[in-house]
Order: sequence, then structure tokens, then C-alpha cells
Amino acid sequence: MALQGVVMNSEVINGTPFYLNEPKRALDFLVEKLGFVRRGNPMSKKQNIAMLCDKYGNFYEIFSNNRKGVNSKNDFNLIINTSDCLQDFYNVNPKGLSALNKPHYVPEGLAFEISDPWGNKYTFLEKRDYTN
Amino acid sequence: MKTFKVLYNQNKLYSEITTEASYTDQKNELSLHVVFNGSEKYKIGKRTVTVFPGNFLILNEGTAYDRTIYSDSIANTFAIFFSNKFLRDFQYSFSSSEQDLLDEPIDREVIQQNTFLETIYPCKGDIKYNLTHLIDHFNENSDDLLLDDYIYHSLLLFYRLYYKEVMTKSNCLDALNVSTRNELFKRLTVAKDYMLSNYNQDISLEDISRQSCLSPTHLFRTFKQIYNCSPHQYLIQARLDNARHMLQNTNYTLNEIVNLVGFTCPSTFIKLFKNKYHFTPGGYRNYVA
Repeated sequence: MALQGVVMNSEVINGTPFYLNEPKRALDFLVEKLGFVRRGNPMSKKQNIAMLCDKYGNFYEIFSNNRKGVNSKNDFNLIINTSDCLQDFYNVNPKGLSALNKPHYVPEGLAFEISDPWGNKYTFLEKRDYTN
Repeated sequence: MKTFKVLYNQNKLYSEITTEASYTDQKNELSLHVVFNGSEKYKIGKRTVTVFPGNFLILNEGTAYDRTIYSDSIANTFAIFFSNKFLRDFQYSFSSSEQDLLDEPIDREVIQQNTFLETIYPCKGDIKYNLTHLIDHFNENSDDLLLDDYIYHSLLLFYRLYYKEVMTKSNCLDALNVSTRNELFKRLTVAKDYMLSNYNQDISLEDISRQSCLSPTHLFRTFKQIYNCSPHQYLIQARLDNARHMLQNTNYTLNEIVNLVGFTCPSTFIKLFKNKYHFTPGGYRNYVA
């Protein structure tokens, strides 16, 4: 799928695409609770709701789930890359966020999941290099 | 510089950055000792082991030991001392059903293994990531609860590693009798520790065999059953691992590294390094820079 991207300083920046239930509320949740920052202006207002940036400078292109062919209410999972999964888990706990599980080891590294009140799931993933 | 912290649950963390230090007659709780730079020598009974970056040492509760740091470059060492209560809770939570944990959440005696094989373990993968984060948070004076999360994961990952490195590997030995198998495995770990501690020295199969109280032929045959390589290949691998660490973390020249890790011929080193890592040493240094 070609990404729409955002325009920042005349440069088009693409982010990882994610589809969210109740995207406007979910965006507020991401900004207020998880420290995301809104960046740039969506190029296509029909599809792309916003571009977000996390504290590591990773971009996430947020779409509404009201797209053709996307029906499920429960399949929306935004993967948030982190460099320190345990610290993020420690930080989200006092904010009253609903953790679905504790940090656990997955083939890619260490991860835990939280959810928002609109059925979106967010996976914090600390990717680890096991090749060495 | 020494930093020591006792957490709310009596777990302790200790960090030391120095070029020279010596401590005798140490005795603690179960502890994990890791070195991020330089090296640290431990004398445990008659045995001496040296911990280099890429490995860690486990010492049981009550084991008496001396430790020495004597290094040309600054050594950065770190240790976790697990309190007995923390260990007991940890083991209880893993050995009991959810119902038991709800019915009797505290103060239940658990008969579990509290002593481990005191040997050098590889500090790779998850445990390396975890310890690196832990020391960073320790240096930043992070909250006790966060530090405790890392200590919990360190222990969890150690149990997993212990199962892989000790329980699984010892079962690879052909010896039928359990006590014979355990004794043989113990001696083979002495051989392995001797190589990891002296990888930069000119050591022979006879030296290793003498240290481990195994005949050279017996050592050669049984070592392969556990580590899937000969003692010589294991030694070469330890040298290459340490050379790679030096290429990444120091400014030593290639010739200096060749000497420091115990190779005599630079061209042999380059050939072996390239075979193992698919980079020349110089190429690897540029790649990770």
C-alpha cells in the first residue's frame, strides 16, 4: 500500500500505518497518556487522520478503521517500538492504563500490551538482536 | 568509584569502576557478578576464575571468595546480591498454582534448589540486555521498584539459562550413572572456566586436563558431547569473542588485540575472524563504529 505521508519542511515523511477504532479519541489517548507528539499535516484528509511521532523519533501514520474491507473491532494493534520495555511498563502503570499483560519474552524481544477504552491494543516492543 | 545500594526488599546492587582493587574473605547471598570492561579475578577455594566482558559468574550463598581487579584499563564491574526472602518468593511464585498463591500468598516454605553450579555463564541475549538496562538505571539512581523489576528479570533469565547450560547439557553426557554424570559435568565446567579465564594465555590441552582432573583423551571426548566442539575450538571461540568486544569497545590496534587475546599470528587471527563473523577485523570495527 502506498502511504500518504505528511509534509514537513517540504519533505514527505512516511510512517508505519496503523488503523484505530475511534481514531480521534485514540489520538488524544496516545498524545496525553503515552507521550506521542502530533507531527506535520496529513496529505490526504480522507484517509490519513494524523502523523504521530514517539519519543524515539519513530513516525506512525494513523488511519481510521472505517475503511473498505476492515470490519473487525478488535484487530487494531499499534506496535510501539521502545528501547526499554520494563521502564515503559513501569511508567504506564501509575497512569491508570489498562495493561493486558506484564512484560514477556517474544521471539523479537520483550513486549507487553495495553488497551484503550475503544478496543485498540498497543504493543510496546523492545526489539532485540539475538544474532550475536 | 564504588556504588552500593540496598533495595527495600534487601536485594543489593554493587558497582565498581576502578583499575585496582582487592577484597578478601567475601561471603554473601546468592550473587551474580558481571564485568562490562576490563576483568575481575575470583579465588573460590582452590579455584581461580576470571570474568571478562561477555560472561558472568554465579556465587552461592555462603561461598567464601576473594576478588581482585588489576587492570591496565578501567574495569567496570557490577553485582546483584539476591536476598533470601526475594529468592524464596520468586521460587514460590513459580512452583505454585494460582490457587495456592491466592490461598497462601506469603511465608510458605518452598523446597527448591538454592545452590547453583558456580561457574562462568555466557552473558548474551536477553540477560545481557537486562543487565545493561539495570546498570544504566542503577547509575541514574532510578526508583527501587523499577530496579527490582530488572532484578526479577535477571533471576528469571538466569533460571532459564541455568536450565539450558546446566540441566540440558549435563544430560548430553553418555555416563549412565547420575552421580558420575554430575561429577563429570562439574569437571568439564572447570575445564571451560579455565579456558574462559585464561583465553589470552598460551594454554595446552594438558594444562586444561590437569586443571579439570580429566585425562586429555577423556576431556577431549566428553567436552565435545556438551559443547559441540573440541576444547581447542572453544578456546579459539573465546579469543574471537573477546577480540570482537575489543574491536567494538576499545581503541587498541589490530596487532595489540591479536596479542591481548592470545593469538600469535595476525594473519591467522584475521582468517579465523573472517570465517566466524564474515567481516575482516577492520571491516567489523568500521561496521560497528
